[in-house]
Amino acid sequence: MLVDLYTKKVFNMAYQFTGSHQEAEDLTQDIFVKLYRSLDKFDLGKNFTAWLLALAKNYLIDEYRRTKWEKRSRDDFEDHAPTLAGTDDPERGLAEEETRNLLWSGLNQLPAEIRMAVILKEIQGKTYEETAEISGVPVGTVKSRISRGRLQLAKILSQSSREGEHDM
Amino acid sequence: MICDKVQNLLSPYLDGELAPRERAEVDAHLAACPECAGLAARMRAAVAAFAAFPDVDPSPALRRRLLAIPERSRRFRLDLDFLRRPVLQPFLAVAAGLLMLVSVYFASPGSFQRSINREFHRGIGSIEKIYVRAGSLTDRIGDLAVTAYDSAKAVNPIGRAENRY
Ligand SMILES: [Zn+2]
Repeated sequence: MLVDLYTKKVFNMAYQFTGSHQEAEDLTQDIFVKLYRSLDKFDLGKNFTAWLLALAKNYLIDEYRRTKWEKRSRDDFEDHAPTLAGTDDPERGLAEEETRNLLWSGLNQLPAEIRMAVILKEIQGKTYEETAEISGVPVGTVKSRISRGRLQLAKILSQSSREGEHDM
Repeated sequence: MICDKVQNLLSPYLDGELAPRERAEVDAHLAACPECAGLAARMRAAVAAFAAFPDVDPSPALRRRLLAIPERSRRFRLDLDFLRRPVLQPFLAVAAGLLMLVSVYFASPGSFQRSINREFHRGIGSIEKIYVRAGSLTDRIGDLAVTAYDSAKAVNPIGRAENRY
């Protein structure tokens, strides 16, 4: 049934987008209400998952614009993440953890459409084509959003490592 | 200047989507420019880190909230909804108990006296169960009211039968 199949997908999309566990649960509920109201508009010939994720994505971005989430801070990444398999090298493990935290908070600095493209393509592992279908834009647009998002995040990472050097 | 151009090519470069000539230009620049080489390395690290981001589990409470939503949308249940009114539940419970006794009488009038004691206790058990269910129903109706309020906020509240809670 819909709830069992799609709760985790929709919830994680909302969580990665907002950075707030609480907010993501409320938004997931809103999205399911919207889904039930829109089911009769679904074209049976289409890919249901893509259609649902598009509905979720539209809702999240509309709400984002309405309520200005970017001003809020994100939950700490570790608060809700399951324990990750660590590496044998503690120094490398620490560096990876720092990278994760910087990227997680760095998502808030990306414009909504770019952030959503990064979430779909990079975190959820969709292809450019799938991301384009969910986003309702041409593949070229997604590629340019991903390019801008990656560059901005890479700059955040290198800025932080430069600040780290000054601290020493 | 050239750095800007190269940096804008880093993403397709990492995806392996550049034409050979462009790729060679980027390679040559990265070998000579520590700034851009550093960005390329961090972009690669970012892509790898995102790919390893774990999914997070929603709370069980969210699942319950979601399961409560479609109940309102099932129109065929609406005709029987009056039966779910909490105020009716004690009467329904008593009626169920009486029906059980009557059915025992008709099923085996000869041994009625003997079996009535046993069935009477089973009947009491059923009445208790019905009471418990009535209690949980009122809880759920409360929960549905909250859900309905949330959804009324989220969607056009006009002209939908489901919004009447
Ligand atoms: Zn350069």
